[in-house]
Amino acid sequence: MVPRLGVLWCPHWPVVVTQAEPHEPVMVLHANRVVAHSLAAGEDGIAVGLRRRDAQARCPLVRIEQHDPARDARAFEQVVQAVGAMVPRVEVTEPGTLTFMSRGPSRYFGGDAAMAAKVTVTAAAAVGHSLAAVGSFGLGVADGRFAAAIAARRAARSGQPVVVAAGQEATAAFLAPLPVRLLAVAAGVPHDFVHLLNRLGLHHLGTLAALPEADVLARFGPLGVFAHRIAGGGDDRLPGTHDPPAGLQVQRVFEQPVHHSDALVFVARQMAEELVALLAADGRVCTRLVVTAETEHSEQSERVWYRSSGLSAAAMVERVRWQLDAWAQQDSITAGVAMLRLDPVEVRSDDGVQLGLWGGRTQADEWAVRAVARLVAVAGEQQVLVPAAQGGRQPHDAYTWVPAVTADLLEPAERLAITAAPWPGRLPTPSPAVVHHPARSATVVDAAGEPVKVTGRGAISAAPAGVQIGTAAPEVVQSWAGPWPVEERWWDAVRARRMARFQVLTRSGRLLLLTLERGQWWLAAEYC
Amino acid sequence: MSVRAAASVTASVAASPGLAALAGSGVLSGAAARERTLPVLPAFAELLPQAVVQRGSVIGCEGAAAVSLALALAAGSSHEGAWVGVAGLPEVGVAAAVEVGVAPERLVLVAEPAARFDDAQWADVLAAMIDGFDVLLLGPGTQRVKAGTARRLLARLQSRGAVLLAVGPPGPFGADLRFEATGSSWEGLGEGHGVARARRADVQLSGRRVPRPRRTQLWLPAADGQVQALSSIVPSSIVPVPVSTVPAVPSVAGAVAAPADTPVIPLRRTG
Repeated sequence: MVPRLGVLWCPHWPVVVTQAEPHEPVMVLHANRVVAHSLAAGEDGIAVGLRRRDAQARCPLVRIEQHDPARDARAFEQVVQAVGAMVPRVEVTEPGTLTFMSRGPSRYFGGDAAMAAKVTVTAAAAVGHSLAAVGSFGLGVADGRFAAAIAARRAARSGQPVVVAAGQEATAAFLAPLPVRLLAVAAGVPHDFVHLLNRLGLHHLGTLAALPEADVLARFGPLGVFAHRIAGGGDDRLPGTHDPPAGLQVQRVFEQPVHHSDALVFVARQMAEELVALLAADGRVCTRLVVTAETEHSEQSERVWYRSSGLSAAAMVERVRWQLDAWAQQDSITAGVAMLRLDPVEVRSDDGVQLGLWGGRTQADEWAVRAVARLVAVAGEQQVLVPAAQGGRQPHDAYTWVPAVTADLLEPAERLAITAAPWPGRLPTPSPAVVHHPARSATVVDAAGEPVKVTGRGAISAAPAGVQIGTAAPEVVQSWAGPWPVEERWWDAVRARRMARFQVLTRSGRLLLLTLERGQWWLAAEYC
Repeated sequence: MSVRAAASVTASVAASPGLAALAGSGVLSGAAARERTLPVLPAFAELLPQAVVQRGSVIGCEGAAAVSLALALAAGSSHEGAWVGVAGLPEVGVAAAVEVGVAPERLVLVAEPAARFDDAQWADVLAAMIDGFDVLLLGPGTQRVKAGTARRLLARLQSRGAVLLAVGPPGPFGADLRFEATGSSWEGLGEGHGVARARRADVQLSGRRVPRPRRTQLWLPAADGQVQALSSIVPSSIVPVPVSTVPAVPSVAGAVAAPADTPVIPLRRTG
């Protein structure tokens, strides 16, 4: 029996959160890529996945916001509450998408269509005018999560709720003319698999559903069977999904009510790890979690969270944080939290995540990305840096450091692509291991103690004999080479640079890269 | 954290103390040994048996070539997929790191703000780095970490199985192994001519588990920026190069006669 579900979906929810004006071009970026944009920005050619610079070229006036999932979730809480007042057991799939069982509410409001219209209006009223920047909420009612999600997407486009008639035949008929691409969009099927289907000429869900199941299994394996089943309007719960054994919940009662959400999240982390360990012992992973928090005065917050790929401990903690933050914002809490409960209501067997042996993503990458997020929280966004190829003649030009939050750590190819420009005049390898940027001032003198100069034609006044970095002790020059003149950006009055470079080896064995610019010596780098 | 391979490996080592000794003597090979060690470049094979370092160890890099040495030690495991976190050394040269073999896509730098980290902030930063990266490269900026903090971090380092490379004189973290570039000489640089092409460095390894200091000679770096054992074949182009064959360095026109086969680059405005 496939459950009949309603899905409420808001396109580009992160834009709504930024308080966008109805006709304002806005885009939300994550790792320098567009993740959401307003209708006005879309009309100018901005699309999800575009790079920031490309998007700005298409629409220079666009307002740029950074992606913040926690903020999205907090703002979505208003919608969840408004809808939750009408229908029971609202389940938040992700900020911008919620799912609920539609059978009861439909009967109460007099049919799916009446219920859908009412929920859409309620949700829109909870958001306010910034919803107009992205269009409207879409509400789809259908058998199963997949069909309902697609119906919701279609409803968002038309502005009218879409209700798919009950029964597997009706669902299959609704899905049949739609492209297989939707398997990736709404059901989490890998994009590679969808490409494969397209290459094989299976462009529509209907053609996929028409194949014999045994052949699909033989050719595509379990994933193919799953795709085949949902394309035909069948049960779209992932294989191996079932209700957990009773009593598998983690609960903490606080004798001293907790007033700080940080402290609660800390406890939630322990609870989540405990729960995940309990489930993992049986080889299972939680796909749907109910988080309940209760204050001393019996005020309660209960939310259902769903994630088809399974909730890890970190994902659970994140959701607890979203829920608590949103709850605390309403000012309806009159006392500290006395109880917190994590209740897995749907689990499935854990098929694990196969990490790449060569290329692709490895376990080390996962840890490192998490560590970077942690470092950003501890040290600040501007302090955690990753290299990006830039190109240039100076030692500090070849690579520059960019904040890790603006870079995609797992897709570094673009960031580190060496440009084809040959940079004539850059120093040959080996490169200096220590690069001073900005350069440190230095003094270079000849045997007579006079400062060494270089004429405009590149002739040196005398051989360097002594060098002093800043106020450190002077050192004796053993050997040296130069001057290697370089003149950059002579067409640009502000950024033009003209300098002569020297390598100087001191008697103590230090090899320095010195530059002479406008009569002043600098220590640019050291071969340390 | 709790289900990390490294942690479980540490536990299994604790259960069978003989294993560690076997691995140290080079008897134990295969997967078990690999999980407790990180590879280094083959150039270090004379100093470190099987060219590996034990996870959880602290390695000090000192002397004139300290930074190059640390980058070279990080390069082997970075190439194999490990992430390298750098702290307290904001002036590390990425180009040099890439030339020696560090993968830039797995390099992360934590720069100290102008207002400096205090001890507690350093503890947080380094703890996060130990948790996430396999190799930590710490510069003089981390010398201010207090001894107690350093002890706690070292315990974490051992349970997590990362390797700490400390540049400069032994700081609060001490060193299990000490690499020291005792003597170094640059090739290719003359009196007003040439260009530094390669450095010959005498590298000495000492430490608690090294009964007699071991020495070797390395090109650190060689002409292409990599590190090579001096005993291995050295391309003839490394040792004193006539300046005319040095590519890409525009010399003052007329000062150097370029050979016929290389095109003469006239002095001009570049960029």
